[in-house]
Amino acid sequence: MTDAARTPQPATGACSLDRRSFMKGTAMAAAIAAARNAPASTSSALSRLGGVSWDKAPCRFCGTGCHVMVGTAEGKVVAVAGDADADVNRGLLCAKGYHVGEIMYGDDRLTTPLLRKHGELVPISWDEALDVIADRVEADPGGFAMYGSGQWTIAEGYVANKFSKGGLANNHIDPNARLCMASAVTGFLATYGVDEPASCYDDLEACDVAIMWGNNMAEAHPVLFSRLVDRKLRGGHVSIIDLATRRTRTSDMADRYLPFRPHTDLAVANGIAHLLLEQGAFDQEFVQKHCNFRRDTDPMSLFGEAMTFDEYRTALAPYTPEEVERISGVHADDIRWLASLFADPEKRIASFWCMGMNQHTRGTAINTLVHGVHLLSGHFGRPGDGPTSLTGQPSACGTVREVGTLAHTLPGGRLVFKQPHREWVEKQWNLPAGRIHDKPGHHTIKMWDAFTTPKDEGGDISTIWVQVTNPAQSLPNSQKLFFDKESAGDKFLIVSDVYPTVTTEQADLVLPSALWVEKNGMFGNSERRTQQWFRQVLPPGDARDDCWQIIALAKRLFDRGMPGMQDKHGRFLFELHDESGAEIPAWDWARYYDHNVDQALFEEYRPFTRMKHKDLAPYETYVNSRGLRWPVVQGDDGRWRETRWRFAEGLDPYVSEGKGVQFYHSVTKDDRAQVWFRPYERPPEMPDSEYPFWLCTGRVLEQWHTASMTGRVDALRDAMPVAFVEMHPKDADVLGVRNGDRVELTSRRGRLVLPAWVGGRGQPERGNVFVPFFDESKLINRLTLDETCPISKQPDYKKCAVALRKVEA
Amino acid sequence: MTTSGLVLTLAADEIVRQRCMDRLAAHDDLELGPAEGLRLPVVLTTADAEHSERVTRALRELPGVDHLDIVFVGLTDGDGSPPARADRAGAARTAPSVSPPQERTLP
Repeated sequence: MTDAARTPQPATGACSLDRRSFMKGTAMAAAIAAARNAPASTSSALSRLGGVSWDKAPCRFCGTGCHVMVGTAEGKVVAVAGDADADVNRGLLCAKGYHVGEIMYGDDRLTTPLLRKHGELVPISWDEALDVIADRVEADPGGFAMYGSGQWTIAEGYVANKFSKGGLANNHIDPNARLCMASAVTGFLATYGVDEPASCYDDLEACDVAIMWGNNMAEAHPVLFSRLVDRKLRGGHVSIIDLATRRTRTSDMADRYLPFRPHTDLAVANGIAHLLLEQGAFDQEFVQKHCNFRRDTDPMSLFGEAMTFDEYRTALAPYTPEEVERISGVHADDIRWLASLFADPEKRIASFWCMGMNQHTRGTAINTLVHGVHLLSGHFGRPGDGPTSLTGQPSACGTVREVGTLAHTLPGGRLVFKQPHREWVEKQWNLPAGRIHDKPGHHTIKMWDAFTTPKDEGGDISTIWVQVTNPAQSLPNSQKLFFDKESAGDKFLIVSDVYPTVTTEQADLVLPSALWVEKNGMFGNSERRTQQWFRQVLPPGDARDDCWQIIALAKRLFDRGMPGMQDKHGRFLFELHDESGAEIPAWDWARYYDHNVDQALFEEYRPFTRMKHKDLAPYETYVNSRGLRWPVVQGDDGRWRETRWRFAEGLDPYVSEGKGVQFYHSVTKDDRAQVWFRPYERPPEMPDSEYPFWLCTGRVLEQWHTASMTGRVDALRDAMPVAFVEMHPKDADVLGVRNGDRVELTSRRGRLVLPAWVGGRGQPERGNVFVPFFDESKLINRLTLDETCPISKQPDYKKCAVALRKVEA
Repeated sequence: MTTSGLVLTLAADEIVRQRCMDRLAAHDDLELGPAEGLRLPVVLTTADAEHSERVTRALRELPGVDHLDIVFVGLTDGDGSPPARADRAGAARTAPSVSPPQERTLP
């Protein structure tokens, strides 16, 4: 079995002058190598830095999946370099990645379990902590829920999923990713019958046109944007089109900025599709061979019902350029221009999106419409030609979507409500027949609503264990969905984290976790790339791996005789064995790193990945690579090969010879994708006389998610210390607001006072304001809406109605 | 001590580029490497990470710098420890700086 951890040393020691000189020389060598695009030179430069050990790791932050080289000495991370050998970032890092090594060294790291006693969090032992949790489980196993995120490593998510669905058998597990990319999942499933993008980041270099659909790539996925910008700066011919509700850094580098009114992207997509049909400019051969047509039923469902091509054409007829302009504000000529791009078969068009399309009460609808525009025009299945969603968390794909930590999914795309799927998973996990419950657990919004509702009023979740996320800050309408816990009676909140957060402040039990390279891990990024890293330094104090925490609890419950923690032969649910067949005592922290538990769990998980042609290679293959994009298939020569583009002959090993393009998971079982008609509909809440502005929330370059990590890095915190409300200058004039004035925002759910930023980095269109959500002292999600897409159950953080008032000094 | 390896992509306009190079060369914290076309390797050495970030931001805004990539960061202070961090309360109470500088001068 692979090195468990390469035995990191305790943190000690001083930095010699020599090392500083070496550091400087290494920095120059790395910069020269990057300027020359010579990765080998970078590796050579790093290896010459005396006393520093280097190893790879994916960045801890967003879903881009950049690789960094981590330099450690005397038990600490002392240097970070962009990994020149990594395809994703080719030696580059963004402002956050550049500081990723510092996130572990905040002064307020959590280092011991803390239990709330008489209102105060007091230190306790791990042994007591496990007993406290076990008591809560035993008291109400059906009301015990797990809430994680796409920051779980693959092994962590796998263990949490098996614990909830195979152990507790209540299916109450869901991730923060529900708030992040659930609509992308349903969009892919409804269109292709299988989740995740067919394309990959290579499209950034291969496309002629890159369309950002409500996607501020420059700030949210900066290294990917750098790849596009780099092409432009080198004189390459690539056009960037920014369809957005707010002018951003992305707009600044775009060839065209096309602002649209919030929520009207559906009209824009339908307008393009309408023109393609009206002008006979769609790809008739591609459509005839590879597409079916589909529409919604009432009530809506994931797969809707079939419609004919003529019905599809008729449904689109109202979306003339003039009507789309009336709805969206995008000029009719610009709609014609967009349609003309898609009508050109010679152009290669790559679409990118993230939260703008996903955090949308019509999220599934707009996702399917963008896929539909690509399919209709035949811009699919070639390098540079296809739609690619991006994720906001490092393993939203690898852990949530592939391991299946959503409330209705099992690993490998298996579904809890399908009996054959349950039976197959029970067999894999050696569970007694019928162990896995057939009813999906609560999705995120429902889970937290059930937690903050008293039991006698139907609130059937009594305990939630949160790992790797910060729901008090990130849930929408957070007073209702989080802070109302206080008045809901016997509710118990457990939080595993690395730093104090707004969530830990409300917790009844806080567990200290290991962070990033303090543990072994694997992530799966936005382009289907599975990445691996080893522990390189030790966690502080008594902080421990999240994976261990779950296994240790399961063992405690097993020892108490809980049947759910036994397989059908009465053995422990997480019984693992090394290559010699000896049992790995994964529940024993003192021996946890005697073996590579990550590897053992990954190999247990790997057979699941073949169920939907998302094949992963053996663990060792990832040790020796900077990640591989699935399906990873072994060739006749024994080598494991990744797949860059799916569903296209010659590019995807699962496409049959002679098929050209084959959607081999088609929901209609005929190898065709589904082109959907979905109408524009008004959002559930719109500005009115009482709340006249649209509020959009999102990210900034310098802070990641709720800033629980980046907020500990001085440089990032100083660069972006506090949230603000970004306004259009004319709106500011009308309200008498100047830069820096305090402005009160009020929605139907809450209020917040923020400093105004006018004429700054971004500029919303008139009638719109933008507030970032990173600031724990300015909880903008007290104002946001908890209405969701009816199919994906993902809420809309991009649109709700607010009133603004200048607060006089 | 914070040591960063940067790659600056400079403007195509020769006059603008040369003015930019002159200003970069005069900056005490910067060491310039050999240019590769428009791409200039640079090492930035500062007393702490905050100063490093300020200079990096100013470089991004400097006329003649079209783009800046960070490729290496050495994190150690002079004593070999990662820079001390303020606690979370400090983070929350930091005075608002609602207009991140658009300055055109290097600190």
